[in-house]
Amino acid sequence: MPSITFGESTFDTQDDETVLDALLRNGHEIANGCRAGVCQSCLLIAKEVALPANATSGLSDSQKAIGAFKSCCVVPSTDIEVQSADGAIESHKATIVEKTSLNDAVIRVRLQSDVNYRAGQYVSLQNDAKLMRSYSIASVSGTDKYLEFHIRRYPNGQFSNWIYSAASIGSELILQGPSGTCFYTPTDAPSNLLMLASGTGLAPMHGIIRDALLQQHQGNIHLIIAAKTSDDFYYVDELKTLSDENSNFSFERVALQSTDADIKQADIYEHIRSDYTQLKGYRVYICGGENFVKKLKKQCFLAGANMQDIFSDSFLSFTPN
Amino acid sequence: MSIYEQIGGAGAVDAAVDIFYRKVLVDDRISDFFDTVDMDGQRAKQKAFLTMAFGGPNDYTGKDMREAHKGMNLTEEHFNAVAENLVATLKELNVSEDIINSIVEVCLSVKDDVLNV
Ligand code: HEM
Repeated sequence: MPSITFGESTFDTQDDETVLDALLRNGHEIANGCRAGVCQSCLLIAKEVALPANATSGLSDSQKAIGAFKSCCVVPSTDIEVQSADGAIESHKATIVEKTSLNDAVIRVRLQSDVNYRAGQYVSLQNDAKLMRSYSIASVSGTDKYLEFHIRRYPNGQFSNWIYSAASIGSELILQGPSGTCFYTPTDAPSNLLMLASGTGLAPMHGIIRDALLQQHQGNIHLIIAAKTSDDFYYVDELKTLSDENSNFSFERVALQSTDADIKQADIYEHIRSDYTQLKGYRVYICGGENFVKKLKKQCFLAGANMQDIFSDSFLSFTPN
Repeated sequence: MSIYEQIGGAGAVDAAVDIFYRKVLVDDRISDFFDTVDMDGQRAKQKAFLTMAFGGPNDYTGKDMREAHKGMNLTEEHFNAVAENLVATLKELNVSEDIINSIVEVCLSVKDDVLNV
């Protein structure tokens, strides 16, 4: 009988049992529901195996790309190694190689590390004092020789204040991850991408857009960045260069209060509701605060985008204790 | 072959869920029941509903239908709204009249439980 390796344990399967049943029989707690391939409660990640199509049907392309599958749908025919859907948490060493201010409140930090990731995923960063926070990666793996993060300074934010003040070039961090399924995957047919970002949601978004362009995405890529005032935007020159160099990429900025003719003064939700009424067949990426993501997810879904084509990453507000 | 297998099992639920959920969210008669902030959680529940209506594995949630809808004060109008959206979804997916009728029958068979009468 083929064997299953899960974390530290390896055991043989019995008869025709599924991966889920075998894990449960061996005392592992795996969430599950319908056991019929519908509810997606029992997702696991498989390492380097070809999975039958019914084990991944209904999953998004990025879930498929990291090896996610419905464990109730697979009866292994060869040995298989699986891990929980959050992925194995691997630790890497990282060193700060650059710190640059992007605007009054956001700093760009670049790290040297050998972690493998996809642009748009996130990692946890931990400093010497064991303070740990999650940040989205803004760089593109393989192309950029560093990992990039955009860190907003919060008045009481211990980690962000540490980065701003105490951390310096050469400071070491422990990096854990990566995690997340908000990243670009090539599409079979050319599809249009709508990218919505607020605040430092631009970090993962900038990475995802560059990744899509490097992978020669066919179809248009349109980015909308939302902010309160016209002073809140950053990376505008970088984005202008990107749109000059790529005819299928465009971007616009929307602010509640704007003094700049280039920046549309509008409420982002109103703007999207009135100008983006037909999103059938679109892939939508949404990165920003929790409310921003939730509201726009619903709006884009109602405008016709399918849930499995909406990729999002929201920053949970962290209350210091 | 059961209806569930005839229309394509889990694949049919996947095909129907977004169309159905979109209809429910814009139907003023019932949208309040489903308009929570957790869209992924809600979508999972819509899938539970569709699986059951399609005659799929019935131990899906382990929840008794009477228990699951207790205290919601559901009325005939709510029930009809859900049924109408379901039928419209199936028509959009070109499901045959016969199968639609069988699916409606499944829904009617749990109506008293859902309405807690
Ligand atoms: C044919 C009729 C119906 C069937 C077969 C059905 C089926 C189900 C199932 C299987 C669940 C459990 C989901 C879960 O907890 O995982 C559920 C929950 C729910 N149903 Fe229905 N349902 C029906 C009619 C209705 C109607 C008419 C309404 C209101 C308009 C409704 C509102 C709800 C709500 C709000 C929940 C979620 C409860 C919660 O959040 O735990 N259902 N239904």
